[in-house]
Amino acid sequence: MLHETSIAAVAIFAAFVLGVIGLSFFLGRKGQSASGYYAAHGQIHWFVNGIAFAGDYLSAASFLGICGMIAFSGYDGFLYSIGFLAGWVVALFVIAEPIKALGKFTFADALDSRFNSRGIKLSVAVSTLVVSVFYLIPQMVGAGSLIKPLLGLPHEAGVILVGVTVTLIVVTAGMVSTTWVQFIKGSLLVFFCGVLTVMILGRGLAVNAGREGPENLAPQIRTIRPDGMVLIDGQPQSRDHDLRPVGTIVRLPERFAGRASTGPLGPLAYLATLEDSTIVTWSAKKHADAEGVHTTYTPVERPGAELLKPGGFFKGLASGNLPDRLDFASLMLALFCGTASLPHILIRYYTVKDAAAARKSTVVGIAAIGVFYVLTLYLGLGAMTAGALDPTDTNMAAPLLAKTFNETLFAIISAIAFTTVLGTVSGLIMAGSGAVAHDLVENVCGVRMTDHEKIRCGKIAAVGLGIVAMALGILFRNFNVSFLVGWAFNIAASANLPALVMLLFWPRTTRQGIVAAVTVGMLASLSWILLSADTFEKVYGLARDLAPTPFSQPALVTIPLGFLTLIVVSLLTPAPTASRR
Amino acid sequence: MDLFQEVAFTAPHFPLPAARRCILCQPRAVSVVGRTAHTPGAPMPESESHQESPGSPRASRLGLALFWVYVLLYGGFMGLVLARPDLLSLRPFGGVNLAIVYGMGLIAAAFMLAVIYMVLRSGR
Repeated sequence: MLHETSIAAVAIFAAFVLGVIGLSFFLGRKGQSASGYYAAHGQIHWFVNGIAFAGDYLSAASFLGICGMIAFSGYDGFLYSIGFLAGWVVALFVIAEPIKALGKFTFADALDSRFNSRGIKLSVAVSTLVVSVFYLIPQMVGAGSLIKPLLGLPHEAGVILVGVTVTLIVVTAGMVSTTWVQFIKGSLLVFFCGVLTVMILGRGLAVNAGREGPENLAPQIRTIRPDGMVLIDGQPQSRDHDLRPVGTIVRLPERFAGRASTGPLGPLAYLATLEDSTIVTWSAKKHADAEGVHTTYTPVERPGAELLKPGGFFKGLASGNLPDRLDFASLMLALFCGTASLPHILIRYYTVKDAAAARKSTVVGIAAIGVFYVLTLYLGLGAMTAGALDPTDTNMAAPLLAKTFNETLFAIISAIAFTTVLGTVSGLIMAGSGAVAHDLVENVCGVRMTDHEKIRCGKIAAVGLGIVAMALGILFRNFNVSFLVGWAFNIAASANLPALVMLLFWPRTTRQGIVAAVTVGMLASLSWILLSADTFEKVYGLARDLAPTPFSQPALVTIPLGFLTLIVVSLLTPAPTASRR
Repeated sequence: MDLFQEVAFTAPHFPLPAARRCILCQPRAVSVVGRTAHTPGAPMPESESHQESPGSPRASRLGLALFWVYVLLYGGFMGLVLARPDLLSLRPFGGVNLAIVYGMGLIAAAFMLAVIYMVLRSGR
């Protein structure tokens, strides 16, 4: 769909971005030490760190991806919310305090604390980079999605804008500015999603919100011709002739018979009413011929009760197909185990002063993230029924929902979504730059650096990662961002979790065991993803059936494989006390 | 391979002394920013030393107990989704179905367990 650019949106958006960059320069003007650059001197207040956890974690996937998935597929987007939050339980109860006590700047420090092995540093640094890059892709894709309707610029412009801004934030003040950007973003995100939810409940549910006439339920066809021209129902696309926005209620429950709108509803009544309503969602089907690639969007009337239970996105849950169910179980395992293995989350434990502060900030983080995920359910369902969805872009559901209230709210929500991307990307680039400078260059290659050189090396790495992120963001533009983040969780959980858990709980763990587990976990999950049906279909453009893996999400196989590798290799190598000499 | 490395930073505000050690001879000092250096093998500083084996600061027993409570809750939900999805359509609570009630319950449970953990840990 083509979207109009509004001056207010551009102004609010520019103010947000400039404010964040200005803050970064302000925080970066003081002289820096390596501990300041990589860990904010360990002096961040626990409350600020807790909200920054939320700012770091609530990525474009959480905000844009989950809302979009709920808006288009119903309940299944909420399953991601549940899994994403559950991961924090592992982080708080099992990982947080040991990680805090064992490490200094990076996750590799912690895993390597007992052994001082170059092999561990190398394998963990590489896995940190792989996970960070996989997590970066969806963030950049989200940025590109947002910039189109907001500023009227192409996808690439959004990706480059985020890349440049984030690199500036990281290079100016490292972890200090990254933390404050995440704090501001986290607070704004939760607050404005709260405001939006109150407005959704205040408006209630309405029949054919924003749409009138039966022609709105006719199928729509979008054709992309080989020369790049876009046709809508056979005519060239223009502002006057475009896809109609979709997503409406066609029937309210009987108790509202004869009324077009329910009026304000409470949080529970909203869900109960929706469950008894009939909703039109749109399915997309693609086919290609000599004229180009055609996508047909067809309306489907569905009872609310069907949309509010699992099975809309994860089709296997309804059909009972075993590989599909294993795929789902594997994803939920990856989300549960992945959070506590994400490098950019783990480094945030080094920015507070002690274990008590680490605990408190995790609790604050869980509270903020939990509230946010409850709100996303309402945002997603609000978008599903507000008659404003762009059928071509699942990631735009939340901002377009805001637009149905007013332009200013649309501008604010889009700007926040954009800062959401900024906050998460800066955390990821920070983690990656630490892995390159502190782990690879300094510890693995043995380059001795002064404090200043360490910072410079980190900044150069940050710029390099920024460029890689921009390139990938342009390549992967057509993916739902939650889906891509699922991959990052799979790799993180498979590569890092077995080593982390066994190091903490099994004294017999050896250096070689850790190196083997990290390497095998990472390579196995990565190869599995590259050979999965989803990648075959969406990345290579091949038939799903050609893929050799039985299901797409690897965690169910590769996490146990990581544990097994660690145990076998550790038992085959001398016990740690002997090897330590 | 460089056998010597700086174990602590030399930045002026840093409380740690700069030291050079042969990394093959001695276990490396693990420093926690802003605190005194802690060497694996020595007991952890006061408040975190209980129940933790030397050299490997472990999660507390309480943390692990709460972790397993949550695993049961989360596993129960996934079990329902995979094995008895029909039960999730039941509407036990104000007309809202079990899928949503359980899902929101999981989010609330994570928060409540976290608060319990924080209060009990700081109370010791």
